[in-house]
Amino acid sequence: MGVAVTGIGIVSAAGLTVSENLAMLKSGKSPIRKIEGIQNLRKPYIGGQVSLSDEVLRKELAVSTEKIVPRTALLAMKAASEAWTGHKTSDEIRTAVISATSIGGMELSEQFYRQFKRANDFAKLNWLSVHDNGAGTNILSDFLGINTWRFTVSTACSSAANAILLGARMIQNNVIDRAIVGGADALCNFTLNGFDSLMIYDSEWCKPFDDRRKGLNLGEGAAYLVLESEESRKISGKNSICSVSGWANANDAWHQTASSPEGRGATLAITGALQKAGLTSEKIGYINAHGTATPNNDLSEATALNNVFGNNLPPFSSTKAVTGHTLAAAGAIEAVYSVLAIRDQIIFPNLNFEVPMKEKTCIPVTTLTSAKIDHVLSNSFGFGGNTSSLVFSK
Amino acid sequence: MSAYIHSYCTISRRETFARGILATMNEKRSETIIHPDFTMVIKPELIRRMSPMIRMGVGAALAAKGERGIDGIIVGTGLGCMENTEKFLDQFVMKDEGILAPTAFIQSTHNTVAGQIALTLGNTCYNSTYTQRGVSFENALTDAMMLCNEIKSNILVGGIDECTPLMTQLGITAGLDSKIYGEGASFLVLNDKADGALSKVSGCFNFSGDTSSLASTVSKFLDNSGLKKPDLILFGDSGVTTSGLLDLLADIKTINYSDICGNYMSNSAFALQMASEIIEGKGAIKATKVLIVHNFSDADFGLIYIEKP
Repeated sequence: MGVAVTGIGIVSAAGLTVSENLAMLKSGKSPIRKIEGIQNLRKPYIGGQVSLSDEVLRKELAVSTEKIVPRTALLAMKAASEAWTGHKTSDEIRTAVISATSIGGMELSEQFYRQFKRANDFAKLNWLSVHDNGAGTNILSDFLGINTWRFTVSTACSSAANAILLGARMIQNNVIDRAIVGGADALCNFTLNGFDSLMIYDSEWCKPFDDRRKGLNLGEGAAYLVLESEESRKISGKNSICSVSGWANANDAWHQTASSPEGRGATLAITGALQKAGLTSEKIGYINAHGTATPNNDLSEATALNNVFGNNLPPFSSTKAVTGHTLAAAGAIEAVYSVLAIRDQIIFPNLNFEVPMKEKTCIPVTTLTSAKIDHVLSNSFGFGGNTSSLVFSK
Repeated sequence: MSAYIHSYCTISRRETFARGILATMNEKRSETIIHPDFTMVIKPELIRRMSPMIRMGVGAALAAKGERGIDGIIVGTGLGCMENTEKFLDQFVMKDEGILAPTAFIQSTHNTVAGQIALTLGNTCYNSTYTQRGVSFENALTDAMMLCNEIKSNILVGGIDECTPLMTQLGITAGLDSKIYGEGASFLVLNDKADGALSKVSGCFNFSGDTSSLASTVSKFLDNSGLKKPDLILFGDSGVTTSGLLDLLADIKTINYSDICGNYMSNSAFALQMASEIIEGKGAIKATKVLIVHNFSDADFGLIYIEKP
């Protein structure tokens, strides 16, 4: 038995709502373009930017201009309010907020730091009050009116997947009845320069699973899901869209940033998630791959998929060419896409793919495809060897 | 939900690595972390590549683990790897062009310590990191307590934060008292078995609000978890005024652990080892049921209840 998903919300470069994201995914177009509006960029990076400015987001969310709120938290509030629609706080439903982020308030901290280092200017010192990851989760929780069980997960690019599986486990263990789970990350110099320093930032559109792939494009965004127990649903009256039926978290224990050539951690995560869901591999109707388009990730992930599925790979695609790699939000954005794949019985195209990898027979779905989908596997892997997989079921 | 503590280790500004917390709590606190000699347990070339925070995290984790096999590594850290974060910021704010070195970026992510523990041990098990301000360790402990009951195995859980010279400087500029700052790493091994346990964690909870709701929430937490009134409260007040907070439990002896280890967001991990030592009867303080009340800025609160196994 899984845990019911009773609400979804998303904001990304692909759109400001679930329906806008769905329309963009179906269109086969990529919104990834030159990043604008971030101060002091070292390079003309391309990436997936959310089209709303901080000012517009603040206005829409009724956040005072006086209050120090990092963009990560604004994006989180925007997506979470869509997911939370129709839900209410209740003394009868023990509720947790489990949010993931990798940068927290870094987008503000780096602006303070520049002025401080270059000009000994302390004017923006109070911006550091929201530097830590938990600050954003508190802003989000206050916004939702939830005061207990606040969690922030930070396992780099697998963060949101771990937030989702923590929520599912807390419900299954009867610690809570309901959780709003997901993640948020805004674009900032720190991560753009960081991935560029690793020489894995593609200056052109990223090409997941393509032999010519050079690296990723970053993106920003947030996505949240509401998970509920049966008891909670009796009170909330919400319908289940689908369920989170399987999950597993493992570690690659190979390198701080690179994935092992044999896809060790990824194989353990995928196998563990299928086992938890009680499914054999042929039951999976679609895989939303991690597929960052870095040479290392995609080969390692393809190897892991072959380890688990042999040569009978289910239809799979990476949606990172649409959203960019949204880091700690990616697992949640892709979880929402997985829910949509089940709800609407469709497989989203993997953009920019032309040339298959030399090393593997691993061809993603490249056009919007209708299919019978009962179960979706979603992979999220990150720095620190963190590898997590989720299974969503009809 | 409950879990049992089977071992622990703290690396701090006291000689806690060698002698524990109660034996060193009345001595003068060092200005810096007292790093033990790790060369017996970690290869010297690996140690050289680790920042001080990673070194204290991996060191405390490996010492707590000892010879046990572990099937979960869970870390709580309020701020993550600040030194490496500052190093990478330094590079790009001062250098508008040219190539940046990736090492500091790689080791700046919040999950670096958990990742390095897995890497050092070659351990492919469950691995997670929590960063919820003052209740980062309570987040990690909640996960660890669930996990050891789910998989019936040993889980390594820790709280770790570092304090860099820049953090102290900025704190002073913002009007904070630098003397209250602290840092440290405390790791514990939990499992679901009472046999051979040092102490038992019988409850863990976190909530946000203000100090006026603390007493009623503590009382509700004890009732809902079926826990008896504690005979000792370890209180971490992060240097803010907390008068009248514990009216409900006013007749219970209270010790402020932040005075012992200094303020850092995850120092309730230090308090958990301290509570276990007290319950084991290692020092002069006598108690069989200890409640840790972690107060972060009078806004975020963590509750951990420990008793005899």
